[in-house]
Amino acid sequence: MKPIFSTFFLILFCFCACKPLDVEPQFEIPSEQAFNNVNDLEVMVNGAYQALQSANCYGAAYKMIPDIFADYVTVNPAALRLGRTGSLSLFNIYQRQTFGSADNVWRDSYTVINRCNLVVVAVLNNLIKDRTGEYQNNADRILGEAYCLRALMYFELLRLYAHQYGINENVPNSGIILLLKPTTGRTSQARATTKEVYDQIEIDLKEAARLLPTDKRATDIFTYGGRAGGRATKYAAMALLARVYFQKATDADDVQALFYANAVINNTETPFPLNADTGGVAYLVTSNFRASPSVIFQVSNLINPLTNEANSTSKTLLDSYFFQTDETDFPTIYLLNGRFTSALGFKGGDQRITIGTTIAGSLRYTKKYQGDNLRPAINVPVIRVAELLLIRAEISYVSNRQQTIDDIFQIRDNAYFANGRRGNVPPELNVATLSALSADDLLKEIIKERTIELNLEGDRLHHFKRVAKRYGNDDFKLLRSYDSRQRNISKDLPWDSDAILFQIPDAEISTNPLAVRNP
Amino acid sequence: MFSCKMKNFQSIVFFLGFFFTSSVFAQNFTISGRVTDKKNEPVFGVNILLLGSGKGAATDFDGKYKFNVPEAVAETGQLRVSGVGYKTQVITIKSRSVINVVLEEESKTLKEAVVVGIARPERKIYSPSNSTTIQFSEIKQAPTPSFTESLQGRAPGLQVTQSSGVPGAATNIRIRGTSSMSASSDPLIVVDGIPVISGGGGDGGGGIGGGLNLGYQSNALANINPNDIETIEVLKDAAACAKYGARGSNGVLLVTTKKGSIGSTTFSINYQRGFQDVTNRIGLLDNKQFLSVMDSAYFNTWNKNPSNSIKRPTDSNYPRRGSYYTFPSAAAFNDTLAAVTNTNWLDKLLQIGIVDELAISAQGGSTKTKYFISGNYLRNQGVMIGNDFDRIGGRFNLTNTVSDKLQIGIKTYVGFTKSNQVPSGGGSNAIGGFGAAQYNSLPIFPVYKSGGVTRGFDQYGFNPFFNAYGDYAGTNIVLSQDRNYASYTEQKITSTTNIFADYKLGRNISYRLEYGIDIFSQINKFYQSRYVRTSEIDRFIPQSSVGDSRVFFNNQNLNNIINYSKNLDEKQVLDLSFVQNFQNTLSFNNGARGEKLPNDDTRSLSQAERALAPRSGNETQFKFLSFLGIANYKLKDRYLAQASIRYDGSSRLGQKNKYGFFPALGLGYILSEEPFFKSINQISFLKIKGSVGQTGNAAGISNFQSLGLYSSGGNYAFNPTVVPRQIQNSNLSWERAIQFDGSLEFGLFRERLSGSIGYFNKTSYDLLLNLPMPPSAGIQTSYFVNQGSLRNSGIELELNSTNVESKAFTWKTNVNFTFIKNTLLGLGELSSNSLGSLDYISLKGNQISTYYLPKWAGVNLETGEEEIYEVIKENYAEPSSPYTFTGRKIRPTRVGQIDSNRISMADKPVMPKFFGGFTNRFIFFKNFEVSLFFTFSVGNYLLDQGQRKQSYVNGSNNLRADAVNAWSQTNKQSDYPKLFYPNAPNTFGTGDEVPNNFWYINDPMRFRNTTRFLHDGSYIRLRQISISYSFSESMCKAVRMKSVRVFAIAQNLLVFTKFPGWDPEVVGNLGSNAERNLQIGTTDLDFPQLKSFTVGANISF
Repeated sequence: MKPIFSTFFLILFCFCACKPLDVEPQFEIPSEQAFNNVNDLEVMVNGAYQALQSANCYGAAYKMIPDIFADYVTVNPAALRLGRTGSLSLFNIYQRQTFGSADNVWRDSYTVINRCNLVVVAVLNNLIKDRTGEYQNNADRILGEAYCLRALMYFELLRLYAHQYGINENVPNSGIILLLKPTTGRTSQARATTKEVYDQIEIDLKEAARLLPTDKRATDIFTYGGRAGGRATKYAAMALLARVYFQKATDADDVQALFYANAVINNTETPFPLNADTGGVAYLVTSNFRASPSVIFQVSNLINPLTNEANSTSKTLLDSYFFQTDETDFPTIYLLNGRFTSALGFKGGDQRITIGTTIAGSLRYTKKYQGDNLRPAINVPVIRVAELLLIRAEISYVSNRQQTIDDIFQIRDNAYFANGRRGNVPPELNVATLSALSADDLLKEIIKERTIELNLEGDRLHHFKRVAKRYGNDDFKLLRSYDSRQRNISKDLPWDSDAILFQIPDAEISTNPLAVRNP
Repeated sequence: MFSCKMKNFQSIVFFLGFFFTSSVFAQNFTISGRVTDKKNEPVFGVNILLLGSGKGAATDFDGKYKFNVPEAVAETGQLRVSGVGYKTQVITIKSRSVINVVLEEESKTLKEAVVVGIARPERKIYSPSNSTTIQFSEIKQAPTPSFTESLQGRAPGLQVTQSSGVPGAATNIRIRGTSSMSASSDPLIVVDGIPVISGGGGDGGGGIGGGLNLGYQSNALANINPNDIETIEVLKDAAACAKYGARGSNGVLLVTTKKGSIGSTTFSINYQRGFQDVTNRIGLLDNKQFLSVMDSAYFNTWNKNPSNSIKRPTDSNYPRRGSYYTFPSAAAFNDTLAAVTNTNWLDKLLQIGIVDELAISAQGGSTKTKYFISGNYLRNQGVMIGNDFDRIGGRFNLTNTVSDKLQIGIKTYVGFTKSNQVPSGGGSNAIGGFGAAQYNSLPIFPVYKSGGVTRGFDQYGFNPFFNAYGDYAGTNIVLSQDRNYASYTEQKITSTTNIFADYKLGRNISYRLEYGIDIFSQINKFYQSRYVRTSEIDRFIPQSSVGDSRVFFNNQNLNNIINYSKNLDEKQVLDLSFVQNFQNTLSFNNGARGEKLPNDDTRSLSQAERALAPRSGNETQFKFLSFLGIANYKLKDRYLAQASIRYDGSSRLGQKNKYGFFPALGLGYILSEEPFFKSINQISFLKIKGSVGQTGNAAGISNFQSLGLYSSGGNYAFNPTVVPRQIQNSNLSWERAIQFDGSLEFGLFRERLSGSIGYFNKTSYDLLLNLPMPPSAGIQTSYFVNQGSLRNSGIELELNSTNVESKAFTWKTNVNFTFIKNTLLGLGELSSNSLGSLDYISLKGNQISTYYLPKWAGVNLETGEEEIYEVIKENYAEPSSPYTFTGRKIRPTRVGQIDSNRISMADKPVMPKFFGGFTNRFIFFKNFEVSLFFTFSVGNYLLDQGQRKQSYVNGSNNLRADAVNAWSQTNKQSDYPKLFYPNAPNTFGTGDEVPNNFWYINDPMRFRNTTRFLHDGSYIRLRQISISYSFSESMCKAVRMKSVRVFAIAQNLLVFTKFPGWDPEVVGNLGSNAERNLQIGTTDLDFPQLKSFTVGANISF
């Protein structure tokens, strides 16, 4: 009897003493083990980049959405007849209330932000236990990357979900939800003001520019300390700063924008030449792990590149929205309309149309995201040097007229690069013609050039709002919509219309009591 | 330590004794004796019962018994002596104080089974808790893959719904209602003392996945041989569940398998053969009707008749329009062929199913050793061609009395099932099957090619009109049912072994060790040939594909039990048990898919040229540790008390809240034992009892739900990534329920009428609620919190009556009713929540889920378009507020407009108001028996999503037969809306601009369920008629048999219902726990229940 009892109590004791209910996951990493060393930080920030690849971030949305509001895009009826109507609601702005992409863009962008916040808090609060070796250098660089991506996401969200800076920028709830710490529970937070979000974006990007290395972004996969490209650098942060200040469209911010644009354009450390040496159209992205040298920051869009799937499929949806090789069965949804070539005044020999687009039947498609060998693009450019030149040109068109003309001509010269040589720009577009223009007409040329150069790169909606605010010019009512009965009644919307704001997702409103909808 | 505890218990007992001794009690007369068999061996476990009272005793290992009877009956009282395997004797006491009994062996006869099936099990008399024991061997008659199917309507409080008639499909089991929202509401299933992997969201940690979704969940319990089961006890209240307490919130099903019996070896052979067919068939359009309906839809869309150049959409000149309403472009298909082809695809799919079941068992033993050995083979050729289910299993149960003190035993079972599956539901991902047969297999398509067709795989003789080339969205189901072209197999292996040792430590104290290991493994494989699918990578290229997924569970249980039982004095009996239980369950799963096999004969995954996502693998584990103290006290055979306290921990819960205390108390009073009651002859038994207690639930959430988790997120540009998956939740705690239970049990007119009536009230609180996270959290979409509460209250009623009892004819009736009111009391932070479906909403004060649908306003007789009632919009933001209509009817032109006019429909509940079963048995001359068994469920509504799909022209689908009455210019009085082409462009040109009027105005209606498809789901079903004949003992002896019985059973012959769909008994194709709790009312072309006719024989010798 006694031995049995003692055995029984021994078992009992054993269970009580050794925490019998602790079970450790085998396929996942418990949070206690997530931040041991600098490598853990590295893979965590890689996770933030990975989220950028989502179709709701740079996989498609941020490149596509601002452009399909634009004047030069139309919907392919053939795609609609095949039932490929998933993004028609984007085209029909009035549907913003129930429009799925607004929800997904919001959710996936905050996924990037949360992952960045995890890295930021881990570095700032010294959560990493093992800080030996090259810890500090690497941790600084990783922190800089996290700041850069976080600011990028806040900026993209702000441009879609909030009004142009200058409208109610100090009114509560005018901006988006600003989260600077990783999510640890189910909490509620109100929207910040537009200005508060801009302030944070500027702080983050300046801190990123301070912390990040100057390595040139990924011309091939083995730069950047042996890692593949597609990572943020000091010049990526500075280029984004130029874009952010420029978007704000005030005189004071233009000074900053010009400073950062110059800092990137004029840098000699890792120059970003605007040249066409790669053949074809200079700014086309490539699928062979490289980028055009003019690209300052790109998102690598490879998935599982080490398996045999990589070469046959890609996560990007850009190709299906803008260009499909399999035309008869799976047509492209968005096409360039007649305005793209006529109203914008393309001239023969412009590679941006002769090589950058193609005509099938009566329909014109872009080849921008086609990639090499008719494969979908694997890398998606976020910012490239042509945009900085256009920023500089627009800011300086009165104060430094010569530089503006040079910058515009530089872009044109590149666009007309053919047969291995420059100097093909037709007379009506050359320096002499530009020099003869009045200031107002020069501005119109800059804006036209911007439209052509950055077509279908996610600039159009933001450009429209900025230009209208900056110059108060009503010529820029470019948006059209269908009425609620889905009849094709075009209706121009003013730049400050509430109707062009993305709506805060229902899922956010119903779960976050402090969040309020857009008007 | 132990002695110290003993002292405490003695003082408690003393206190309780003091408390109760103030009651009055009568003089007693003690009877003792010894029960032996003919060989003078003592017989253990024989029941000796004083008739007309609940009083009795059981013999010990030495065959001895002793108990008190009231002085008043010492002369005339009758003892009933019964033991399994022996003839029952009734002995008049005649004031003898020593009564020795010699038992006569008896083969297990029909009569005993019949009686036991209806009579109240004797051993429960002294329990104050509420449970129902089902003599399973009695009700298990028609061959079914899983025992759970037989339980429907058999016990009050128990609700069983089979998800479909597919063999091996899961059942939805609820004991006293749905008591959880996001976590599991399935009862804990315990086989021979060991909780088993039940799958389908049970305590196995979520549904058992694997393979493709074939439209139904498979049932892990289908592996257990129902013939081995002796009893199933349904534990309902907190006191009854005390032994399994922390997991008892959803009730417990306690399955006990057969033991051997003393005596020479008895062999039993049971063979049955059954024929099955679907209970119902929905009428679909035939070819002429279909073409006429399509022509009319064409006219309605473009306001002109199909012309010669663009005729019917079946014409090859009709422009291709992709996956929407494209019809074959193959040259040979044309109007002429369509007009003469009339294929009934349901006929091509369905056949008469055949079930064969052979069960053989041997049992016997001596007083020292008893054994039960069984083997079972079941083969079910399904009602769907290509569907079958095979099970083979064997059991060995052995108990051995080693010495006076030690008893050991083992119960072991190995079962293997293999099933070739055919997709069944409308929502399934797989190709072909029941959904396809009625939906996108059109009557105008021939099964086999006609002359002149040269495209595709026509060398196989199948028509090429729907095929892998994307001409047409449908599938030739005859092709996809052919295992040469598509196959889905599921194999399961279950092995359970329980061993126990029972050691008498002293006169009153014993120690019992139980250890059980339960291994479950499931392998799902599929093959789809290049004739039925296209590549996922190279669009429109036909390519074969194979897939394989595996699930493995290893579930181990260890119970340490100390039992103490003492007659404190003449009047008081105290039983104490201390139990320590430890459960450790590991599971692994992995899956892979690949495509592009080298040729049509290869089906190996390793031969697939390309891997396809998802390739999955996971390993997970949970542990469960509990300590239980339970005391049963009985005073003077009529005052009963049971108190228990548990301390339970689950590894799934948060670090701070892993453990919880769960007390329960039950009290009972057997009034009929009071001396003054003895004079009331009409009342032979009367007992009131009540219990209160707390139970817990942590089932159905993920094993690592409380941990902060990170995992690999794939690569970014060749670099590995780690991404956050789940935030830590160290407060996650038990979902708890407080249960009150009060009931009255009675036996009248010498047990001619007996039954019980009871009330229960179970309030679940701290619900494990899976609340959605704000998307700005940037991590998981939902988060488990302990919030909200709900209540299930109701009345359970059971009546057993012997209406006529004579030698020539006996008529017995059993009826049980359960009324349940399910109420959502609160949702914590949320005022309402759809928890996952547009068509349901959870509102405080209603059932936990309420239909949330646009109210259909019928057809606009002028235009033929559908209308819905417009809701006052101010209320839309807050769905819990009462809805009011504006009085207007609107014709929705977009989906958002439909969604913003949804209303909650508390008057059309998702769950039934009451349900139950009703049995009548007629026994003629003790050997011919007829029984009729009805089940019913009343008050619930069903949402027939399948009806919606078959009420619109969605492209290439067939419609239900009532579409011929659709509104048209010539039939303007119809209540069936006008049909038209979906997504219809009004021109066929390819312009630069989007055509005007791109959407047909009323088009979005086909995307949303409305009250048009909501129907009363009440039914009464004649579930079983059985006729059996048992040969008399003398006839059996003549052929050296112990018993011979032949029987015929008809199942599901009739159903009385207003539901117009396939079958009112349905739970839909639901996966997650939340879906199975909240969305049970939706049916989507689900496979109906089966009717069957079975004949068979039982022989034992």
